[in-house]
Amino acid sequence: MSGVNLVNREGQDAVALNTWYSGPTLVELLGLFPSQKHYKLRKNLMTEDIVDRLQPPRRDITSPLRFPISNVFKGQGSTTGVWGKVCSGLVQVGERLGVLPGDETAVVKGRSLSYFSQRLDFEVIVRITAIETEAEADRVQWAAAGSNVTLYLTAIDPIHLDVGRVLCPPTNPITLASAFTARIIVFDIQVPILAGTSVSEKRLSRYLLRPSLLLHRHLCPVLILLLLQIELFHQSRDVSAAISKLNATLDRTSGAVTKRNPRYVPVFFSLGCSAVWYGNS
Amino acid sequence: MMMLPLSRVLTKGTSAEVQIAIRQALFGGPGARSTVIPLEPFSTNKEMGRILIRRNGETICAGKCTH
Repeated sequence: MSGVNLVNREGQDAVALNTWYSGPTLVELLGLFPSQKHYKLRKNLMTEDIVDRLQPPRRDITSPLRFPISNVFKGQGSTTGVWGKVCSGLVQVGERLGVLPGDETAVVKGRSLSYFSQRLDFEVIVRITAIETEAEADRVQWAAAGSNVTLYLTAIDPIHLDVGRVLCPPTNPITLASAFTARIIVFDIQVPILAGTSVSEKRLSRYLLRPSLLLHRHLCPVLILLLLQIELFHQSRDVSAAISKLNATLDRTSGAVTKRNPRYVPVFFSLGCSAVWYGNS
Repeated sequence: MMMLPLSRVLTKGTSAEVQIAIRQALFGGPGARSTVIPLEPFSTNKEMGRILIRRNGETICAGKCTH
């Protein structure tokens, strides 16, 4: 930890970095000082001053409220407590919110793999009686995007609340999807990702119920299915899913499409990528 | 760089646009959940548009929902 590239890039430690990197240092990148020369003129500036000048990331408070539930517990009296992070928007005491997906309302008709997005009437409306921040007993009247809070709800049966459901305003509900398109970055994996749904779940359940069917001839599709089956993690929910179609391969840096409907996927002998920027609480 | 004569395959270190379908639960029961998830495109809401994908307990890729 010698602080290379923090404010400057000089000395023995920076030799390796200088061979390939010629961009701005961290402090320059933050726009605090246009150049190293400029910095040197003001180098007696304290570190605290630099930190004070940092622009915090903007909170998305103009979007409609999205509150994915991370935990449900019983509160005092008839209230139910839900814990989670306000992803966007504002929430305040006394507000009425809907819970999505609702129970029976969210059942998808048919097993279509086509795009599906539907607005459901909210059967479940909750009312917020109190908002609490992480520090216990610190009651607040409202909370904005980015804060982790506990909401105490009334007018709801706790069976309607479940980890992974989202509280949102009845006037502006979140879309629900059973199939969607995503851009992904593949990590350093040994077994490649397959696309397709060649074996039906019905067939698999038959194998699981009658293991004697697992003869050599039948084993192969089952193994393929195990490869196809993935777990999808979104917020605090995880569901079983499959990659149904491979639309295109993309250039990793620019995001440009390199090949549509690829039949051949090049093997990059590259490093596994770090994806800290995808991390979510 | 080497070309593999395999279709429908994504190998390590690649980036791709894919379609993902939520599966119906194999066996119904009290633990079975609905097969829709509340999701928004990354362009609409960053936090509601991020996904992670695991297979056999190993995180194999991460991504964002486009539509």
